[in-house]
Amino acid sequence: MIRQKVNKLTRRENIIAFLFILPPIIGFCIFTIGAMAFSFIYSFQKYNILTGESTWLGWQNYKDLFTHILYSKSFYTSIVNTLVLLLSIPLSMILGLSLAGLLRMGNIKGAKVFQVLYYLPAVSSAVAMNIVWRYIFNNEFGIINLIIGKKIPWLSDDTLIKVAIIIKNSLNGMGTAMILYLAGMLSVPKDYYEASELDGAGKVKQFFSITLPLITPITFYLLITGLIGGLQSYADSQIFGAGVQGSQTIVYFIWARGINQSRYGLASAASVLLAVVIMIVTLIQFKLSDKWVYEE
Amino acid sequence: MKRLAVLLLAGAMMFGISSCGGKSDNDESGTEGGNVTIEFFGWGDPAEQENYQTLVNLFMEENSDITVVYRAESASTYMTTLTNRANKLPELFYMPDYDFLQWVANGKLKDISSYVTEEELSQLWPQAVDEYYFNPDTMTLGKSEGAALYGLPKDLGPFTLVYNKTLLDQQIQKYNLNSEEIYAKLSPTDPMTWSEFRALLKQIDPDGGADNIYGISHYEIEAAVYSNNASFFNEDASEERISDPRFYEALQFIADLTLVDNVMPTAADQVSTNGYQRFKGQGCIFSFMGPWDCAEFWKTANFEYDILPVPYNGDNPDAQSTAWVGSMAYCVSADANNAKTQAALKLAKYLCYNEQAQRKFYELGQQVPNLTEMANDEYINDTQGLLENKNPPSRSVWVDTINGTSDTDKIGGKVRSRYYTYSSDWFDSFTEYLTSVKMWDGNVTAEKACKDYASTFQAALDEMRANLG
Amino acid sequence: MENVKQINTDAARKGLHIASRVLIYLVLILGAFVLMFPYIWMLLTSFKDDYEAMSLTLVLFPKHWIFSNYKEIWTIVPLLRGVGNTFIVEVSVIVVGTFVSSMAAFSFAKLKLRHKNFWLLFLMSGMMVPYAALMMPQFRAFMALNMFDTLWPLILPGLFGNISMMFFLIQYMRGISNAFFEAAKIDGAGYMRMFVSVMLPMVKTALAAQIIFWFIGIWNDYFAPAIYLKSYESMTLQPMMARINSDNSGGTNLPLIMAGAVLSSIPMFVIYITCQKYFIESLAISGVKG
Repeated sequence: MIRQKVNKLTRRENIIAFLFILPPIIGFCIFTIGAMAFSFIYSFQKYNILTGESTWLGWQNYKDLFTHILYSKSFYTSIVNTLVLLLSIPLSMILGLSLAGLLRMGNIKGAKVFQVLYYLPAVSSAVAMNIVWRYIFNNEFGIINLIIGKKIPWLSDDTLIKVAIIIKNSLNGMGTAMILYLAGMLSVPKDYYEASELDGAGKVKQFFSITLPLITPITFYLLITGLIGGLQSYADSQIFGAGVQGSQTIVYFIWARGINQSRYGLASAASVLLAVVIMIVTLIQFKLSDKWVYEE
Repeated sequence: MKRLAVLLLAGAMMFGISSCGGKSDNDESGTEGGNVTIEFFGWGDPAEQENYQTLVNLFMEENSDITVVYRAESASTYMTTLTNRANKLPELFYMPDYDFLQWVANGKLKDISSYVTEEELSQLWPQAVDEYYFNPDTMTLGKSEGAALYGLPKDLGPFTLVYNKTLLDQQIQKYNLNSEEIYAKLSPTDPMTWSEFRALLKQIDPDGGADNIYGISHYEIEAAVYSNNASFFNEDASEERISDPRFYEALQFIADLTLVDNVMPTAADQVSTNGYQRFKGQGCIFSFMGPWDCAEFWKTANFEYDILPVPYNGDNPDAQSTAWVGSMAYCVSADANNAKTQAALKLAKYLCYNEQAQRKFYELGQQVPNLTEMANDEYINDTQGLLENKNPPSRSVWVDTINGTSDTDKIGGKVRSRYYTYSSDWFDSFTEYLTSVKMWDGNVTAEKACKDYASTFQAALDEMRANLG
Repeated sequence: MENVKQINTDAARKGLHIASRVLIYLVLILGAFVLMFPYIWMLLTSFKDDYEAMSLTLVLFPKHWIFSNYKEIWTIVPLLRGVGNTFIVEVSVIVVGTFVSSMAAFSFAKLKLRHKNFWLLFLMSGMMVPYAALMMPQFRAFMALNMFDTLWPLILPGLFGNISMMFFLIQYMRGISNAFFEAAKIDGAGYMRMFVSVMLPMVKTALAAQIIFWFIGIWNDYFAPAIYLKSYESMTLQPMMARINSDNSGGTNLPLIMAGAVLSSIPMFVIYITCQKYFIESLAISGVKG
């Protein structure tokens, strides 16, 4: 009798629990899986947007990405650029962690003011920030070059523009990392520190032996979101780089070929590959995270 | 798992339905009671849009049975939006010359031959009208047997040399130069040769831009190529001509302005500050300018300037000063019904050859008049007094570039090369190549770059042609 | 002897402490200055004239403060409209989406759900799919539904929740003791009530933080709005700013663009400063609790 009742209750809970997660699932099926499926189909087609005709091409679009005389070069470039620009993620995490550590260890008065200031870039209009940074880095009348007194071609050299973007993004991203790390540090139980203090551990040692392991979920979160965001970077190429070759990311390539030139097939093939790469990376990350993410 | 499959299917179906539906609404809507509503879609900065709205309002006053909804967008996004609206096109829209072929070949533009008379067209620059003829059977551009008209020219925009007079005088004083001698070279009717031009640039910018004033901001590739009687490809864009010595000689001439003479910013600096910006910011004496730049320059430029025909290669007996002449057409959607087509063309004609409208356009600094008669006298000599004290004074250079100076055979203009091809990919990848091998930085000569790239360029041209079937 | 040694090391430690604190302050202030510089520069440039802004010698402060840029920008673009449109998207998406996401998070964290891990992984796999891979089919679908140049393409997907918000909330909710819910269950509370009156109040701070992040995300979103919104009537702020930039092609009229950037940032600053206080305080409270 009791077992039956429990079973019934469990089934009820199961159904309600499922209803609770249903809206995201529906949205996911339409806007993600449905769309993804169509991207996949498009990637095997040539679509003439003017006439509305689709022709089946097979793997041609994928081959074109790597071999076509007109597109393959910019596709390779965009892959390299995207990967290089990812450097700003660990940089901003290290900067953010150090800042959070400084705020926490130094027991700084006015820590709130610093938090507000450091987080500002993350809440600012990305477009506005890119416009201003572009002006700051301008080869000729940008303030950086005026101060240095040299015309460093930040905005036009294929390597330097990536350096500029990495500098800009690391600075802009460190506030977010700092806030999250600080929140994580604040949630670490105080008695952990008290106990270790009794053992005679210094603050630096505490930071590495207590704080750091306890905030791995935040590191994990920052890494995943940073990587996923970084692989999809677009405004940096479009607004900061103004489309310069050295700044073109994969998503810029997809936008330029797909939306801008209406080459849906080619762009879809690139987007499918990007999706596959992101999936693999994320899966690897999840697998690794089992080993080193601290969870209670 | 079953539920998942169902959900997947539902999601997919929604997309299927949504991407199929909504395509078949070319009804007779907008024609009730003899009234026609048409949409006119264009581009331009806000000031230009305002000017157009004013003219559209004037048009509607005169034609109370037509309602025009004017919409416009920034030039940089215009074609993307128009392309994505390909199955629901506005009735009347701009079509830049370099996209015309793709659109007309795909049957998106209306044959308007029967809506306009020869007499009407004869008032316009013939070169402008001829650009928008196309023969769908042979897939060839231009006026020929069996070709029909698919657009009315909006304007012809010659892109010629311009110089900052104020800055030039300043440099003349600074370096103690002979003012008369220098101005003698700046003739609106007698173009300079390349060597004369280079000598002049070195004279007025002897320090290689160290004072942040360069001789010239950049150099238009086509202005150099055309003025050396060379071209990217042959007449029907089927064979490359970039491996022709005349072609790479023109590129080398441009590169040497930076590499040898030091009178032009490096390629890197040209990217960060483009020619237009540098000229406006008084960072150079020479640059290039089209009639459409007047509106902005009149508003913001605090210096005097004038235009000149582009220099040509004096060592090439076949060369003459030839600038590129851009153009755009008013086109009607192939899907528009008869009533809407008529209304749309009425508006297009009004904008294209109504005297008042054309006068307004040049007064606002937007274009050289389309009407040959108006351009040749009223515009050049300012008989209406609308352009008093307005720069550039030598407006005849633009008219000469459009029309060619048949008597002296010294100045002329040519259509942009991208007009002849299905899309501009070949051009983009060529310029990308030149940048990536650092041709402009002197890492390779123009000759080597062009010869190395010739086969790829040919393949790109073949691909362009393959699109035409 | 022992005592003296003790005192000495204490003093040494204290001295080091003060020195290191000064150093920490210096580092923090320097960092803050570097981060603040773009804003200062944006503001200063907005009061300059064209030629001063592009001057090739360093001009920090405008010689003549020009305010006309702030007047002119309104005549060039309907900024107010852009703010309004942005808020329409923000409010509709966040109100519905937050409820949906936190409800799902509650279910994942606390309820018995068959194949829970499968569904979680299923949804989380969406975080791996780049928007670029969905962009073209969505674009064509919205185009066909006549939703091009409307706010719908930005609102509709958001109504179904935000997976990263959900993911974060699940982690947070898992840390809450099950005892609360067992107790509520024994009291005979329904699941909805458990969610609304037990769970939601307990995750308020995390939720607030997530809402702020999402708000910022929508505010800064440029990619999708730039693809879908083409007319000023429908544009949100970001594409409007980008358009001011591209309309003044070649980056001329820099001061005007900067004035637009300043204005477009003001509403965000106000919201940020108001919410940030609450945000940091709530974080501090949770820190004390821990």
